[in-house]
Order: sequence, then structure tokens, then C-alpha cells
Amino acid sequence: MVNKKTVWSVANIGLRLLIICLVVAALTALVYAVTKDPIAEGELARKEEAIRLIFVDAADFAEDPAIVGTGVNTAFSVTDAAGNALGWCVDYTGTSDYGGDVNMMIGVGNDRKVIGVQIISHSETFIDRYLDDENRYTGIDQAYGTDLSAGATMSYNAIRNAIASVEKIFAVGETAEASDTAPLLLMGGNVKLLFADAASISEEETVEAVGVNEVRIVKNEADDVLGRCVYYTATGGYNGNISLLVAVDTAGKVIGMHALSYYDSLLYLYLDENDCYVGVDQPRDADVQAGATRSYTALRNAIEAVEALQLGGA
Amino acid sequence: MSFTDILLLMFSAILVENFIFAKFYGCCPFLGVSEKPDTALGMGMAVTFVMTLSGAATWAVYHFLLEPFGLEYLKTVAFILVIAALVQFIEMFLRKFIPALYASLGIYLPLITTNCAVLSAALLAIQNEYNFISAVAFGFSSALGFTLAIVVFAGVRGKMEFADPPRAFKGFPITLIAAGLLAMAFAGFSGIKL
Amino acid sequence: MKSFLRQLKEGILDNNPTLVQLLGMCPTLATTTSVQNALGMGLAATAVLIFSNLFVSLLRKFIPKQVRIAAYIVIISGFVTMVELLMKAYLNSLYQSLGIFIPLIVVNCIILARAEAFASKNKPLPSAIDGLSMGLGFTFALLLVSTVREIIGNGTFCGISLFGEGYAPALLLVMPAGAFLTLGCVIAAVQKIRNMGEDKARMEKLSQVEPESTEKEETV
Repeated sequence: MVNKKTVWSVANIGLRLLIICLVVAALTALVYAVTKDPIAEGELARKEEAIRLIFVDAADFAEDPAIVGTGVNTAFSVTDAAGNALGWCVDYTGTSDYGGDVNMMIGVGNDRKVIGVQIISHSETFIDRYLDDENRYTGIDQAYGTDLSAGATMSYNAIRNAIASVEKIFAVGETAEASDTAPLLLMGGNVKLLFADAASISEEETVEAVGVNEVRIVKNEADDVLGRCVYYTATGGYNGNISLLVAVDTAGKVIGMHALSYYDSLLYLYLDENDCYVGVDQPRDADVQAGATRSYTALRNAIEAVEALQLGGA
Repeated sequence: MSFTDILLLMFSAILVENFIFAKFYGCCPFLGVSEKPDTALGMGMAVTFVMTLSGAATWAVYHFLLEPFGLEYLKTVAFILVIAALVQFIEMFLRKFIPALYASLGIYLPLITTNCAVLSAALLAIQNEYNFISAVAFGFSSALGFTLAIVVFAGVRGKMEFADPPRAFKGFPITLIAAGLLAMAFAGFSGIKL
Repeated sequence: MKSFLRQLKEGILDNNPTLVQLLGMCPTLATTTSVQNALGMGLAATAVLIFSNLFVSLLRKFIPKQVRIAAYIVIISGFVTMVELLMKAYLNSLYQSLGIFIPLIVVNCIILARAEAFASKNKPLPSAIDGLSMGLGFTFALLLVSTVREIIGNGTFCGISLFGEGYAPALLLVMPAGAFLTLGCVIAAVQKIRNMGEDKARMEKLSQVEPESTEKEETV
């Protein structure tokens, strides 16, 4: 008798709970069915709008499965009404150190350089400082650091790092073969800024040293060795590491430096509009600026470290 | 994800993206159960146990039950049910088979169902598209971060018992201020890119 | 009508779920970096509160006592999912800013506490009103904290810059540490006001007792 009663009471409880679950699930499914289409339409409309804000003449866009990389959700190749390729739009999700994803549409032109950044969604308060009314990043033509606003460095870096990452993704295809018309890109940095006559970059040379990531031989059109390009990580600045391309001539002396990415908000004081360090020929301490000594020291230490490697030779 | 990636994921879950000081998941028990280091450690261990298992269970439910049938939108309901059921089973299992452990952990287990941290870890693992091992590692290490935070805080509160704050601040407010100072210390870890 | 207003006042002031009952800390700390986010969170939580209180009250005789917490959680999570889907479809920018904290409304202690303490024991209409008043109280607390954090921490209010270009904001307040500090001070302020009220009531009570004791002395 007791057995039957307890079994029935447990079954009763279980049954009631199950009914509640089913009713709730049914209501949720109803709301889902109602909202499914508006959600899908909304997402498509937002992407379309973002693409049109970057490429004003965009008429059609199609997914391009060839463009992949961390952070890339989808890449679209964009064409205008006449069918001409305008470039690409990359649906990219970057992270902000404030903790949160920033979903952007990054426009890349036919020259494989980023021409526009459209923020689709974000969940932090500072990024608005860099955007215009249409959520477009306004500083796309500026060099890194010139439009940096105090107190919003992490948002700034989120945008700039995204730009650098996307340019790197588009550059990877270029290092395999050099072409006369396209710029030579290594790790997203333009080797031609350092070697004006550069025509090709070789395969990696193995050089084991602290801070050295890659070394490549740079040659001109006549296949003479112009020097080497070192992808170097400098330490000691404010806010972490500085990624640099260091140009070394055939005697092993540093003739130029190009900054690829960095969090240091004072580094821009030493860089020109192409992000190249202007004081390479100066003796140490000749161009140190008050308040930016650590950035300066990081750059000079990088020069000394690379020269110590004596990467000369043909 | 390689082994190094998983290690880095765990490291960042414990310190850089600490569940309490950087993300605020798990605040209620953090502020409520952290009076003595012993109880704090007990709560922490119980949470670690549940979060590791729930990381595995929720991942399995999502990928084998919800996704194939297109029911992803029911994940919140499904996960909370899984967590509640898991906690219930763990409690029954401990009471029957490991009574000593039940005696020390048992009272905290029902509280864990409503702990934001458990549900967040499950949802985040899906959002970041972790594979099974990463999801379990993430649950485990986030719980370790939670335990670290709660035990450190219990130590701080123990010292605060001898302090004499203004009347308006007594109790909860001064606890929050102390938590804020601890959060500032942990903020030193932010910006570490792994 | 009068009891409706009284219930509202109770939820917003006397028995405020966050500032007095000290529930719902997670979202209060996390979503108060800007007034807009706080408002969105508060209203979303209020919507869930009203519906879950209503539903729980309607089903209060049907829900078995032994599994009531599980039942409440199922109901709450269902409504949270519905609110989430509706926001994703029609209020998408708010949905993006609140992010993972919308599903976390499920474990918001306030909703579970009200379901257990009020909705399971009262009729549907008062339960719904209780949901409204507690939700508004929660929103009020969120607005208080987020106003402080946004004005001092970002120099804006609802996105409108208040102090112009030259203002260097106190960044600490919009970071996690600042959340704890601001909430601590806000609750301390609330506690101070309540202490002042209590002291006043106690002083009044004491001053009423005195004349009696002097009379007693005289007779002796």
C-alpha cells in the first residue's frame, strides 16, 4: 500500500513538472517562430548597410570563402552595378581589452589596404569617441596614434589591431610572389617604405636571437641584395611590446624602422605618417622627447640589438 | 586547440579574466559566503566540482541535443535545467557515498544552482565555440579563479572584523569597498595578451 | 489605487531589492557602465519579473512544493529566453550592449526571491504589481549607480557629453573596481538615510516615555 502511494506521489510531482516544462517550451517556441524572420532580416540589413556605408557604389556582394583568419566571420567580395570589383568587406570580430567583442565591417580596397571600418556592434562606452554618427571609424587615414584620445586607448587599439590583422590576412598572399604593381607586404608592413627599390623578398633565413621573429633578404629588380628585413619585437616601451620591421643594409647597419603594431601611446611622437622611425641616422639621445623616454629607449635598443646580430653579407 | 592554447586559456580564466573581479559572475555568493576562509574554501571547492561537470554536461547537451534539432534558442532553459539536475544528483551521490565530503560541502550545493558563474561559464563556452576539452578546462579554471577570489576576500574580511568603519558603512558597504580595492589589484593583470 | 501606490513605494524605496534587500548584485555591478545600458537591463528584468510573478501566481496551486525551485527556474528561464528573442528582433542595439547579461537575468536572485516570497502565496494581480514595483526598484538602483559611474567616469550622461573636450574622466569608475566602490558608497548613503530615519523615530519614542517616568518619581 505504502509503495503504491509513494510511487504515485513521485509520478504526480514529476508529471506536473513535465507539464510546466512543456508549456514553457511551447510558449518559447511560439515567440521564436514569430521573431525568427525579423532577426534574420535585421542581420542581413545591418550587414548590407555596413557594406554600403563603406563602398558607396556597392550593388552586389557575395561570400568569398578564400579569405580566412582569426576573427574573420565572413568575407564578402563587393561589386558595383557594372560588375566591377570594388574590393572586399570583412565581417570581423575583434576584442577590446575592456572585455567585450567589437563586431566590425572592414572595407578593403583593390589595393588590399583597409579603407574603412564600420562598427556594427560593441558593448563598451569609449569606442564612440572614434566614430562618427554612422558608427564609422573616422581616423582611417591617420597614422597610428595621431587620433588617440586619452582614456580610450583600449578601444582605439581594438580598432587599430583589427585593421592590422585584416591587412596582414590580405598580405599573406603577397609575400609568396612579388609583383611590380602591388606593394611588398611583410607582416602587414610595407617593405618598400624601407627599401625604395625593393622588388622581392626571399624565404625566411633562420636567425636565433631574442626578439627576432623573421629575417628575409630583400632584393631589387636586378636580383642584387639590398639588405635584410627583420621582423622584430621590441620590449621596454610603455604598455607592452612593439612590433617592428627593421631594415638592415649589406653591412649589417640599421637604415630604417617601420612600426607595425604597438600599444604604446607615445610612440607616434617618433614616427612619420608611414609609421617609420625618423631618427635612425641620429646618434642616440639626439631626438629623445621629454615624457617619451621609454618609447625612445625601446626603439634605440631595438636598433642596437639588430646591429649586434651583424646581418651583413650578400 | 593545442595543449598550449588550453593552458593559456586556463591561465587567463583564473587571473586575467577572473570571473568575479573582471566579469562579475558569481557575485552573490562571493559577497555572502566569504566571511571565513574555511567556508570560502568549501564553497570554492563545491563550485569547482559543479562547474567542471556542468561544463562537460552542458557542452554535450548543446552539441548532441539542441544543435542537431535547431533548438539553440532553448539553450538557457536547457542549461539551467541541466545545472539544477546535476547539483541535485551530486548532492544525493555525496550524501550516500561520500558522507564526509557531503558534511563539509553539502550546504553550499543548493546555492550553486543560482550562481551566475556556473551558467555564465556554460554560455561563454558555447559563445566562444570551444571544443569539449576546452569547455571543461574553461569551467574548471574559471571556478579556480572564483575560488581564488573568494578565499582571498575571506582573508581580507577576517581582518576587517577588527576595523571600525563609520556607521553607514558597516556591514555590506565596507565589504563592497574592500572588494573594489581587490578588483583594482586584479586589474593589474588586464591587458596581458596571451 | 492607494494600495497600488503603496506597493510601488515599497518596492522602490522601503524594500528596494538591491539597495535594502541586497539582492541582484551581478547585473548591478556589470551593466551600470552607462545609463542607457542600466535602463535597458532594468526594464528587461522588470518585464521578466512581471511575467514570471504572474505565471508563478497563476500556477501556485499546481506547482508541487518539493520541486518548486526547479519549477520557478524553468518558468523564469523561459520568459528570459522570450524577452531575449524579442529584444534581438526589435531592439537589436540594446541586445548587443547587454550581451550575456540578458540570459543571466535567469539567475538574478531578485526574481527567484520574489517568486518564492510573494508570487507563490498571493493572487495574480498583486503578484504582477509586486513584480512591477520590485522591477522598478531594481531599475532605480541601477540608475543611481550608473549615473554616478557615467558622469564621473566618462563625462557623459546618456551619451551626451557634459563637460566638453577638456574633461579627463575618472576611468576607474567605469572599470570593474569602480563598480564595487560606487555600489558600496551608494548603499552606504542609503543606509545613512535609513539610520537617520531610525534615530529620529527612536528619539521621538524616548521623548514620549520621559514625562511618564517623572510622574512616577513624584508619586514615590
